[in-house]
Amino acid sequence: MKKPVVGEHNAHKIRGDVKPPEKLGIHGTSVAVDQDSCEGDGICISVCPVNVFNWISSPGHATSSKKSDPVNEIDCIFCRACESQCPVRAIKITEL
Amino acid sequence: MALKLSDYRTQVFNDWCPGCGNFGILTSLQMALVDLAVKPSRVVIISGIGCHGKTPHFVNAYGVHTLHGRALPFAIGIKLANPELEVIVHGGDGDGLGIGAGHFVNTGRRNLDMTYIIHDNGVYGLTKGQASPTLKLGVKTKAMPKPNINEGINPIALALAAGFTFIARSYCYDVGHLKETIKMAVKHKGMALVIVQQWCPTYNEINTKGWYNGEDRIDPVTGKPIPRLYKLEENGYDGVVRKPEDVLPKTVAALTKAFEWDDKIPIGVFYQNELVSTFQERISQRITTYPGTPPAKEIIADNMGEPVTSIKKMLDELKVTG
Repeated sequence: MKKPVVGEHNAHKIRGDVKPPEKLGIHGTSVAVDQDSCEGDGICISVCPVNVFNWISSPGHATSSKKSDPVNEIDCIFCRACESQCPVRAIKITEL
Repeated sequence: MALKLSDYRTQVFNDWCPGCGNFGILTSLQMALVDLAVKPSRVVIISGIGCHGKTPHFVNAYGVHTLHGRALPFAIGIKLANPELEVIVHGGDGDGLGIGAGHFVNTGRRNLDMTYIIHDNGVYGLTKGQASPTLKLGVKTKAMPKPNINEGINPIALALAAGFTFIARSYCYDVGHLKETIKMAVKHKGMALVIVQQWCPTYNEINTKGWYNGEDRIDPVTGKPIPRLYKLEENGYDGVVRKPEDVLPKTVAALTKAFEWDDKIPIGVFYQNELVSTFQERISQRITTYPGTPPAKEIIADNMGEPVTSIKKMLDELKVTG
C-alpha cells in the first residue's frame, strides 16, 4: 500500500511498476493481488465466500496468461481464506 | 456524524481460522449496527465460550466474554439494569444448546427485548471438533471416530416451544441476508433468535460452503449446482403474527418449515409475534418507577461518595439485647 497509485480499473486501484504485458503491478487496496506473482491457480476464486475475485486475461505475461482480479474488493469480509490458500502468497488483506 | 463500519472495528488480532463463518457473522453484525445507527456506547455484545466467544473482542462496543453456556443470564442482568442498552448475545451451538440449553428455554419464556445470535456449525470447533448438539444423527465429521450416535436438536422447534417471539435463520456468507435479519431481530420488540448456519473450515467437512451451495448435485439441464438454502420470503411464506388467532396456524407453519433439512434448508423469518408482552412491560406493572429509574440510573452515593442507603435500621433490629 506504500507504493504510489498508478491507475485504476474494475473499481480498484493499481500500484507499483506497471508496463503491460510484462509488468502488471498490485491490484486492489484492502484486497491486494500481486499480479506479477499470481500463477493463475484460481484457488482464491474457489474459496472466496463473497466472490471478490474474477479472472482477467493477461496474454504475454511470464508467469501465466490469466490472473485473479479483485473486482468486488468492496464486498470483502476479511476472512482471509484467499490469503492463506494462495500457493504463491500473492494476496495481502488489510482491514481498512 | 454518520457512523462508519470502522467505528465498530477493534485492533484486536483476529485468530479465527481463515475462511471461518464467524467472519461473515461479525461483518454482518457490524454492518447492521451501522445501518441501525446505534452508537457503540449503546451496544453490549455478550458471548459464551467457544470460537464465537471472541466476538465481543472484535466489536468496538461494550462487551462481556462470559462463562460457558451462561451468556444469557449475564445479558438478562445487563438489560434489566439498563434497558436503554441494545443487548446482543452471541452463542455457539454447543454453548447455547448444550450446556446453556436451560437458559435458552427460560430466556424464551421471559421475552426480554434482546437479540440472541447462535453460530451453528455442528461441531465444537474450539475443542477440536467433537459433535455439537445440532449435528444430525449418523453424520461423521473428521474428528469423530464413529458417526454421531445422538440425534441433532432442532433449535427452531425448541425456540418455538420455549416462547421466543422472533425466530429466524440465516447463513454466514449471505452477508446481505444476514445483515437484514439481524436488523429485524434488533428492531423486534421482544426476545429475538437468529440461528446462523455456519461452516467450520477446520473440523466440519460435511456442511461446507460447497454443501450449502449444492455443488454435489448438479442440475442435469442447466449444469449448475442446485443450492440447498432457499429464502422463505421469496416463496410466499409469512411468519408474522398480526392478530391473536394467527398464533396457532403460524406456529404450526413455522414448525413445519423448521423440520426441513438436507435437500432444502429455509432461511428467513420463521415466526414473529409482537403481541406478547415483554419482560420490561411486565416488571413495569409491578414496579411503577422501573421505566424511569432502572437500577443503572438509581443514585447510590451522595456528593461525598457515601452510600445513600443505610442498613443501620436492619442491623438494629438484629441486635442481641438483654
